[in-house]
Amino acid sequence: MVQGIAKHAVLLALAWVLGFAAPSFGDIRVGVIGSMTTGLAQLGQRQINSAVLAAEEWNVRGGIKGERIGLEVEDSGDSTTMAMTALDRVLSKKVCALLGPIYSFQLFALFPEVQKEKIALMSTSGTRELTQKNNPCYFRLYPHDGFIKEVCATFAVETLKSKRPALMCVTTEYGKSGHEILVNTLKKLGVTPIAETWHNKDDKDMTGQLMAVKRANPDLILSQAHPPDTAILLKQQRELGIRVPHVASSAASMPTVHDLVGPAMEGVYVEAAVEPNYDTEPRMQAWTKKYVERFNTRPDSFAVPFYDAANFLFEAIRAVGPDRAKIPDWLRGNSYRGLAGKYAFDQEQNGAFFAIMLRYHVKEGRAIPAVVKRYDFSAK
Amino acid sequence: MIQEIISGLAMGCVYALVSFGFVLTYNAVRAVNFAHGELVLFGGYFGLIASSWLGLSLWIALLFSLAAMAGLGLVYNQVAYYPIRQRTSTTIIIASIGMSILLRNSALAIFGPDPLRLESFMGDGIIHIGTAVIPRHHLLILAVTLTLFAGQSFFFNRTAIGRKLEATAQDQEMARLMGINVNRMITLTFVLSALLASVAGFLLGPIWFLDPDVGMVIILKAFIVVVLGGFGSIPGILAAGLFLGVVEVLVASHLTSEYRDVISFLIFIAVLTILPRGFFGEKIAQNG
Repeated sequence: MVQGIAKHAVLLALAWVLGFAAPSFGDIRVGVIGSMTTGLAQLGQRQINSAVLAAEEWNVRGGIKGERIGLEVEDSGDSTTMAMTALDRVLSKKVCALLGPIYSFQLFALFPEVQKEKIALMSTSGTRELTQKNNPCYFRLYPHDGFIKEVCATFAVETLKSKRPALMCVTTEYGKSGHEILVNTLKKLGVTPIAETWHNKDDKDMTGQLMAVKRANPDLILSQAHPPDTAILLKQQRELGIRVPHVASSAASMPTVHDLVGPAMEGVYVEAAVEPNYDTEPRMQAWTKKYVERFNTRPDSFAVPFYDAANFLFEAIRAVGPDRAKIPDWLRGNSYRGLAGKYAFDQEQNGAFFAIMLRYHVKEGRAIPAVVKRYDFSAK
Repeated sequence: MIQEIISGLAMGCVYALVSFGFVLTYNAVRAVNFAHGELVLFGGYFGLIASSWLGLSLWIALLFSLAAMAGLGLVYNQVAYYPIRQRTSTTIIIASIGMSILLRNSALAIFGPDPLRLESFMGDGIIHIGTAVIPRHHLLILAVTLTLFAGQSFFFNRTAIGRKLEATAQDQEMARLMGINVNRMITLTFVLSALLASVAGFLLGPIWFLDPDVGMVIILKAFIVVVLGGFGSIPGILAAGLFLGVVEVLVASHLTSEYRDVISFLIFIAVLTILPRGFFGEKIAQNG
């Protein structure tokens, strides 16, 4: 008996150490792949929470035509290898569609298998190239960088009157994609960046990059980075006394980033699809309250579109059944009004064309956003 | 330039401090402890538990972290070293990799994936030196590290316990013949290494933030510093840590930020080509 207990204890410990996901069985199986471990989990786990919440709500209402929705959740960690292993696992469980990770480097790795399996994959990544790979199975439910970086650059030049912006970008696909669009948009507006710096997503010190920017004497900083490096950039900018406006990418709208940055969030401009924690719309407020009560953590601007993506997908399954071949066709031909806005796919299968520009003010230690501009090109 | 140099020195001090604990263990057991980065992480996390969760002052939090890390050092020794002490270095290294994974996943389970910030003793304050703006926390890092490195020289050369530790590190068999309880000394080394990790965690927490993966970044830097300094050399790691910290900042600021790590590694290779034993290293053959 003691041996049996020891064996189970070892297996439990192994499961804990390796971070296995607990599958949720149901009649209609949908795969969810996201980072549940590693530093990328701060985005991934919130998205998985959103999918779980959506599935729970559908199941409470009786599921899809009486059949329960079961999410097969797998961890994509922080590597392409883990993402591909996660895909193999969910595919082996006969899922009818996929909700994928936010990180483009993982999505790119999943594309060949997804196309081979002809299974719909929805995600909320912003990297422009994702929908330029002619993958008929991939659907994006987040404003892509081709749209949102154009918004940032235009806002910097036309609203903040910047003539000498500096660009600070991360060296991932996301950073490079955003950098290219920022540079091109600025060029169209007749502005050339005065300095351009790069950093790795795991870098913990940006002094060198910020000093290069400081020497160039810019009138504004535009950054494209992931949450942890965004936090370090903003915090060190303040520490190094670089007092110019900063227009940051959506990572800076995350509550976890605000906790790290503290008073350095004052005056920071951030693009986002939506800001659930301070939205005044009653439906959004109710959803945020429910999310916090259910998961004991605040949602971020990526969690809402992922919740919408899950609901959009469940609507598709309700319409055509758990049929892998029919789901993509239905998604292409239909639109969906979600919490964040209206989603409808263009020819490249980009589904979201709305954004907000926020400006943060720090009050009693809390970073509070105000919407300074709204953009909605959903009809285009 | 002064701005970059001070920031680089502060980063270098952190690298050196992390490497110090790493080298202590290496010298005692002749095996690399790949879990040392996670020990630094837990040093910070224990401080966070005391300061943020329990609402204690930072000084009490530091004491709490030191006590908890001393306990963790003891446990580490009993679990991942003592039972396999007669095995080869490879076995001990693999055990340390296992401990690294265990500690990292424990951190994820307990503290979650979000980076957390440990407050600094110096707050967010900055001081102006000419045109340079220096965070007070960077000055604290410099002061603490230099004090600890000065103190270690006194401890290992002038105190009885320090000499016993040094003797154990140099030759375990000879130390045993001299009546030194080698196992106790090695246990003490693990505790000392964990205490240094606690201090490093307190210095890193406010600037790098604490997340379960930070340990891996830390250990990579520490490994470079240890090799560059001369495997096992304590003055070497201080010199190498400061060198690496300053080079990284200057390369990113004046040459290229995109290829900062590439250039830093090229410099690292160039230094080792000119000085194969590192800055203060002994011949590898003499270590066998």
